[in-house]
Amino acid sequence: MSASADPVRSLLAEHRELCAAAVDPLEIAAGLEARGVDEATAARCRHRDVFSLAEELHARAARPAPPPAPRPTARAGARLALPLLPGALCAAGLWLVDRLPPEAAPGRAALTVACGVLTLLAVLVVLARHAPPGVAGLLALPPVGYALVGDEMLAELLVGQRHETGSTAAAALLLAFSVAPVAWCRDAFTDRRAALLAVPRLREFAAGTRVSLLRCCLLLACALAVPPVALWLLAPPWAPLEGAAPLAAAALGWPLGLAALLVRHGLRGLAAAGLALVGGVELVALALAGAGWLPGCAALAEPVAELVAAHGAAVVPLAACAAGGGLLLVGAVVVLPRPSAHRAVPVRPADDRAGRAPGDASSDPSSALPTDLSSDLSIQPPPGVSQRRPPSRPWPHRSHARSTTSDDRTTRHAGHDRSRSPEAPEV
Amino acid sequence: MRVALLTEGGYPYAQGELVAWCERLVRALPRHDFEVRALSRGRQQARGPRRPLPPQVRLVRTARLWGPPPGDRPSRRAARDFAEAFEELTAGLTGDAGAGGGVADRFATGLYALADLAAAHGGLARWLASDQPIAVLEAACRRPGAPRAAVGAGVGDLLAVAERLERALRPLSLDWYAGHPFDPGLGKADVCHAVGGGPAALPGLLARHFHGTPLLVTEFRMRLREHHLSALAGAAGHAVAPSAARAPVRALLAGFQLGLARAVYRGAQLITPGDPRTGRWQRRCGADPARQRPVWPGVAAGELAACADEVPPPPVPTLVTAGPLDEDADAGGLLRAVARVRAAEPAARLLALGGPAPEPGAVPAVRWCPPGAVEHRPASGAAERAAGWAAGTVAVLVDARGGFPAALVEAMSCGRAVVAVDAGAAAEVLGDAGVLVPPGDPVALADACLALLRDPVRGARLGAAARARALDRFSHERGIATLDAGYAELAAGRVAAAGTARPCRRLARAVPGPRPAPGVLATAEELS
Repeated sequence: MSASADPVRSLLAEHRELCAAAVDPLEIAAGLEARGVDEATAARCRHRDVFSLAEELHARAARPAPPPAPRPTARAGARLALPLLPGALCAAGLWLVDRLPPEAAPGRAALTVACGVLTLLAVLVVLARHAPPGVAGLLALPPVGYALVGDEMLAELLVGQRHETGSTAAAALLLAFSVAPVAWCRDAFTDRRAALLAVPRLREFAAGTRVSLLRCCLLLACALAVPPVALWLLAPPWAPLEGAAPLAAAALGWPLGLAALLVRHGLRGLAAAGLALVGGVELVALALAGAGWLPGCAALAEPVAELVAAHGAAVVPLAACAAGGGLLLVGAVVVLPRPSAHRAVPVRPADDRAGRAPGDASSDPSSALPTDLSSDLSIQPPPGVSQRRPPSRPWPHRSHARSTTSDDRTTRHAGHDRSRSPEAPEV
Repeated sequence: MRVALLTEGGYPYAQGELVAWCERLVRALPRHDFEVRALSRGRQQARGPRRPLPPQVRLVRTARLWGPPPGDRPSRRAARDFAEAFEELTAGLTGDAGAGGGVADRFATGLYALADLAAAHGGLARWLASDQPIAVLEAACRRPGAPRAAVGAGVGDLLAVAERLERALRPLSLDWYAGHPFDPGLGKADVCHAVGGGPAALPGLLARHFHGTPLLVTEFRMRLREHHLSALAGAAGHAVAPSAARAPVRALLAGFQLGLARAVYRGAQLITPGDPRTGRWQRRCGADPARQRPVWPGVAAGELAACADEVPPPPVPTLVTAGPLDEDADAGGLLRAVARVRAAEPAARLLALGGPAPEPGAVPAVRWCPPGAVEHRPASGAAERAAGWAAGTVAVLVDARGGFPAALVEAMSCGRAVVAVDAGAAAEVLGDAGVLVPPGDPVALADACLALLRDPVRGARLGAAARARALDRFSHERGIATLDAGYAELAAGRVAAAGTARPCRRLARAVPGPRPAPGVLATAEELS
């Protein structure tokens, strides 16, 4: 019988998975002990102890190439379609508002507010689902507000000038639709980054990240041009494309998109700085224009007034977006290729491990022994998965059962891991 | 004597590992001054409740092994020095023996060099969170002699490893070693007692490195073994287990665990494994058997014995075992043996203590036992467990998990004759105070039980012997006494060694000063 001729070979066949997956002889030793292989078995295999037996098993184990990681194909449709939701909601709302008769003013106002709130919620769902933006989200509000009403305010504030201002509806529509390219580019970069994290070379990772980042930015810039063009071609009567103000709204998609990208990769501070710059420039312009009304301070409003007179009211948001977007782009290109910038997305998220109720530790199977020790006598031989021990000489019908329950064992192992203590040792 | 108790993820936090054990130890030794230095493993634990401290605890200091890295960004020069030392450490981590000395030497050299630099430059954690250690790890994976699994490490794997190492090495950046106005520092302690061999032992190792404080390491679960078991639990059979670390991460972290374990066992003057298996693993990782001294986790043997004496013997022949009865505890064999016993003694029944009744069909052999033959009794707390064990005529222990067989020791303390399956540490614990049967042999198990049921005199004799053995060897008091002796031994050795070099200090120590009022030092609390 081959088993008696080479007991190690039968052992190897019995624990093939364990030996193939192990990275270290000691890992095999731990697994063997947990499965009930003890010194007696080692002696039968002519080994001094389980450790030297494990070493032989490790040396003799066949290691199949690891199967490639499955690509996340599911929900691709949802990922593509969901970013269009804010734009669709906004368009539907504007269309409805336009259909209401002008005398139903309260109804129009209510519908406008409802539409705005729904659109904002949809934007939050699309952009903030995976990465809460924190203060960057708050800092994104002033530029958005300026894109909607800022031009009119500036026109009102500038003394003695009347300027053509764009339609707020068109600006809102463009902003809502620019969420889609922002989300797509962000997701594209995230996917590419996940693939890049598997490359073995830091230099390769940095170069790949930089290229991928620039490609995404280019894509974003192109995609942001699509909504204004479409609006110009379709020219719906309820969102007339007038003047350059809607274009400034579309341009705001650039810093917002870069900020969303940075937030997704944990660089909230940089994103907040860029958005603060955009909002700051716009607010300074408004403040200077407003200061012109104060006696003796008319000179303060001069530069803004000259600029607006020369290039139109949209020059202020465009300049602000250029400044903020430039800062964000430079920051992203400098910071994102660094591997340490991606620490915020750990392989095993620590938050999951730290989020359990206080009572859980005592019922945790992985803390079997310490629980035994710490809570004096509540000795419950745990559903000791890692300690599972089939008898070394199984009963006749048990051996059959064992050969068929290997799946059961693996699922139990996985369950064990999932239910690990939140405070389990990190290292 | 001043004992620094070093814990990780446990005492004085109310929730965590070995809390009750540490508390018992501290309360049982009021003669010593304890300073508890705890590393917390998570926000929940750190913000959670703590155990009330007895007056002999003079000082509590905590640090966290979680959250963003503390400290300042290191200077360029410090970063260069850190990188050199870290390179040495990673050479030991990936098994590169180098020109001089072995792998363990390089790891320990790097570790101590990092500690020296961290003390000089004020903290290492921020550097470990930067790009440089990742580059060093990348180079380490490409060195000849690196583990096969580590060769394919991607940037993401290196990031994961660097993050874990940053957390594990945080004790290097602590300010526990030199003295402060409110904290005399680990150098002033007579003994460092590390509960656990992982990061908890690092402060002790460094105190020994900086000041020569002797180190005692208590280990109930060997950290390297735990690491491998959790890795197996995540990886077994799954192509991509949801939470499993990839093979390169496991390999590199296993290398770190091994290096740390070797450094700890080499640096510790006294190592107390909790059971024979842990002792074996420790020796495998370089522990000197001469410095090993087993300290069993123990059970409250005296309390159990007192409670068991108040319970009358059962009216029918009863076998009692530790529940729950499931496949893991090898319940099938036990139930088959019970069926065999009932064939000879129809009145006999089985009582399973603790755990829920098994679901129908969970244990295939349940059909062998007629209804009513098996009773399940939930039992928690000393009194209930003692009553449960005492309600049996013979205790049967088939659970052959490794580690400390606490249920077996409970049964022994309650003075019942014990039949145990010869697996794990059962033979060592039971000795000749009970009957051992070979594993996987229900006939032998049934025969042994029948023999004891039919011979009450022999049963009583074995029970008394088992109780005496449990009280003598496996009570809590026994383990604490061993540790106390270890403290005295280490402190004496220290005083003798330090006496020649620093006679003044020895004189100063000879006259005990007035104890500070309790609570004065214990308020010195710091979250770094």
